[in-house]
Amino acid sequence: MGLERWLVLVFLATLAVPVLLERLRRRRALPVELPAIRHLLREHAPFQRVLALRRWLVLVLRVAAIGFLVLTFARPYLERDVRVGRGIGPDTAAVIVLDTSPLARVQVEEEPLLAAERALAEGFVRARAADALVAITGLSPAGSAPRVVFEQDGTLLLDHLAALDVVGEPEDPTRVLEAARSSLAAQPRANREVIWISARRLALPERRDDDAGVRIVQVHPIPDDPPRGVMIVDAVPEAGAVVSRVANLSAEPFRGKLQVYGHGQRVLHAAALSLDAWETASVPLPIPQGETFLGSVRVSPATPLERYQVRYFAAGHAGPSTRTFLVRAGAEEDPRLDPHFFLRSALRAVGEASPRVASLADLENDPPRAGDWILVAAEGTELPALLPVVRAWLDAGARVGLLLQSEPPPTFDLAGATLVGVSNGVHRGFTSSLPLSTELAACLADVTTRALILASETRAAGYETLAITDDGLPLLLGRRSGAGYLLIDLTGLVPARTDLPYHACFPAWIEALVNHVANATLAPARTVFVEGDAFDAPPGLPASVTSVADPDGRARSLDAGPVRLDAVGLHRVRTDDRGRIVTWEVAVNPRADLDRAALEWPAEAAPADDLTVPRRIDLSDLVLVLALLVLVPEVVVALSFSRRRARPGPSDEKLSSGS
Amino acid sequence: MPRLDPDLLTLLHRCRIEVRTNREKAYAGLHRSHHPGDGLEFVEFREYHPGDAIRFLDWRVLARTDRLYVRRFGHESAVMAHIYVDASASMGVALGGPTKLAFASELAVYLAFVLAHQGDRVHVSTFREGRVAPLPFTGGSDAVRGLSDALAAVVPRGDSDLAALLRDVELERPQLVLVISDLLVEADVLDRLLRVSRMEGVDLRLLHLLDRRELDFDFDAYTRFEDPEERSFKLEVHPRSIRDRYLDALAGYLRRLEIATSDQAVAYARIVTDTPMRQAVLRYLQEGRRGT
Repeated sequence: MGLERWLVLVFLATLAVPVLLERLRRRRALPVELPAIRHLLREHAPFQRVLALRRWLVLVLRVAAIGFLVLTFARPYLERDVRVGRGIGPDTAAVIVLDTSPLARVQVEEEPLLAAERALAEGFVRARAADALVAITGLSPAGSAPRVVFEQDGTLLLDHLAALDVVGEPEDPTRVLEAARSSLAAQPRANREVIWISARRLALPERRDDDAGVRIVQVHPIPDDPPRGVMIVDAVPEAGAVVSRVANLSAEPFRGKLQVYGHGQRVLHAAALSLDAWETASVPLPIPQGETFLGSVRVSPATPLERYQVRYFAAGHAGPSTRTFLVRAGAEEDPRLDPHFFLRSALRAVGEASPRVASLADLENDPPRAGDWILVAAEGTELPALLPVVRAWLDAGARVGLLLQSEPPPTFDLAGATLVGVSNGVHRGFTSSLPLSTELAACLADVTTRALILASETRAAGYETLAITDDGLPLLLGRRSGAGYLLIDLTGLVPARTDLPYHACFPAWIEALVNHVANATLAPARTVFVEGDAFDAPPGLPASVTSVADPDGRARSLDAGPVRLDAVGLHRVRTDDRGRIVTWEVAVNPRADLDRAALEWPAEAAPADDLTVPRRIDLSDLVLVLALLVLVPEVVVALSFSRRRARPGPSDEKLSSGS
Repeated sequence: MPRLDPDLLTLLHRCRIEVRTNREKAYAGLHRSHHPGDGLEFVEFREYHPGDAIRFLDWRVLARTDRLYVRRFGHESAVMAHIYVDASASMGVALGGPTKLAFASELAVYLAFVLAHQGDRVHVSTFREGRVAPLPFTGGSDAVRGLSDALAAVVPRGDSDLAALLRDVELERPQLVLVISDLLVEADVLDRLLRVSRMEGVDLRLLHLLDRRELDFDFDAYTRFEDPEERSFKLEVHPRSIRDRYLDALAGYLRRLEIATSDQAVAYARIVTDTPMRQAVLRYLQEGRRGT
């Protein structure tokens, strides 16, 4: 028996508390001379002993309860040997093959399967016969042969074992087993066997004449309590679908559903799942395209839902984009009357030399993608046709700056903002929360504009007000919408509504506005990282990225260059600008090893030479139950101490008797 | 010793403690009997019946009323009464009120006064640890005060060994034996005491004193109980946890005591020490008259 948290034993000092309290109580006992107490003690001779015993019993129970509680938090465990099968006997050559496919990363009982496989292989090594020749290997990378080196030295074998790790794209395990079988044929031993340690059973080729008597033994790495039912090996998001590979790890067929969740607990799709015994399958489940969200795939029904029956994934978009569109709905013949004239000029001045001027029709063939940023200078009358398109762009992850150049229709909704389409007089000067130079801020104070009135509820609809007139009317609003970002500029940017374009600070204002839109997007994320990939901070997240939290909860600094994402699970990148969190999923490679397979060779029974491996059994729950069991009699006995019935004493109405 | 109550003493002039003979004890409580006869002590007048001796005719009554009455006389005998007061350590316990010894002493003084006033010879003694210590008492009003002072000077200690008391009774053969005690004695000793009542011409009366808190056991705090006579009898406990058991044991003891006294025809009275002395004395005397 051992403890996972020895330091918790410090709290065993609290055991002294009930003892001290008892001593204190006895010291404060009130002395009373009561001659009649002898009636009680004479009649119940052992009563003193019973009371003393009961007092000690309560004390012991209290101490025991505290002790058990402390022990519970120390996470006790029991190690016991579990019989896993026959060991490697004398005059035997054996190749131990560990399933180092990404399946080995699946966490079972807070440990990856690989750890259980290693423990089992170590058991085989330690229990082998002295003259046995043993090789340890794992699945080799796809297209390569496994490295099989026979050793008699246990230390070397354990070194080989320790060097094994998960292979991203492994070779087909049946080929690896075939290679192991071939290597055994040359070994000068009477018995030859391949020990395949994996959570899955393989369909193995039939015996051939040149097998040289090689036997293949399949052993489960968790022999006493293996994962049961269906295990989701991975869930890889692809374009429009998340592909889940599921394996039935039991001898019973499974009939159920596979569900994909997104946006919290919403079921996006459910598909029937039917697996024969030991069968594995890939199941595509449709997911919304163009959205960045965190989702999960779950097996249903599964009660209780085991950890290996849920896989998380993150659907996102690849790579940052710098494509810039300047959308116009119509074209003017006279460039001086082009409502985009001032804007294009300003954009050239700020470095966006060639913003693509596109119409809505153009963008139907080449729609904006995640990361694109678009400035839409639109007349108010164009809004009804434009808004659904803008909405789709936002859903796809684009960043859109909507510059309203004239009054919109009387009332309309845009991404949660209700606008009242009237101007409200002339306002002079406005201030902005965008990072501006002092000169620019002074310049904006001289600007005259006619602002639109926003309905009051707009201000509570998730919009951030970035600029206001001196009268308090909003001029510039921004919010995240869908997977993208929307900026609404109500200054107009046309001479009919404002004199801003005629001010010298106009290019600087456009630059500030463009920078805000361009940087306000979600951080670019890759859809799928293969384990071991290096993550580079994307351009949109320069020094603002502070840390990466790995699936095991450890945080790493991201400012030291590329970060390897080794663990399967969700890596969270936290930025300190606006506190947004971007999530990546390091998924196993979808081209890995599991195909439909059926069991043909059952694992062989172990006739002799039992092989056992140590297994750790968590005793926390048991100890907690013991603590509660101890508390119950403690409470009962303690209550019996303080019990009192309102009962009168014997009558004193006895003045004479006798005859 | 508190000052004696003069009103109570005045009241006690009219009270009497009758001594029961063995024959009376057999019918105690049914009637009174004076056995008038040839003695010297005048008992009563009675109308003359034919056959009565002429010498008992009261001539003065005949002269005044012209009616025939005879005088009746009985034996005049001075009763020897012995009052034994328990002076053991348990009598010195006070649980909020007076000690049992103080109460017993006062009670003994008043009872001695009654006995002396009705002409009996009274001896008052304390007993403990196998010894009987007689106290001076001659019967006058000064003697009452002297007895009171002597009892006040008694320091309770030791156990309530009754052996000396029994020896004393066997030697002296008093007609009336009053034992004032908390009766914390072994069962066999108590049995021997009760058998005193079987002696020819001995009227044994037990006055059992109890403290109110002994009866109610109304202790609350965690307490260490000790028996002042038997130090091995001690118990450290929360009183609430043993109250029922204690009350059962006490009630059982009192029940056995009542049965034993009844079987042995011993007059038994239980007095709680918080009873006002006047009430305790008068009530005891009234009950005693009804009982004899």
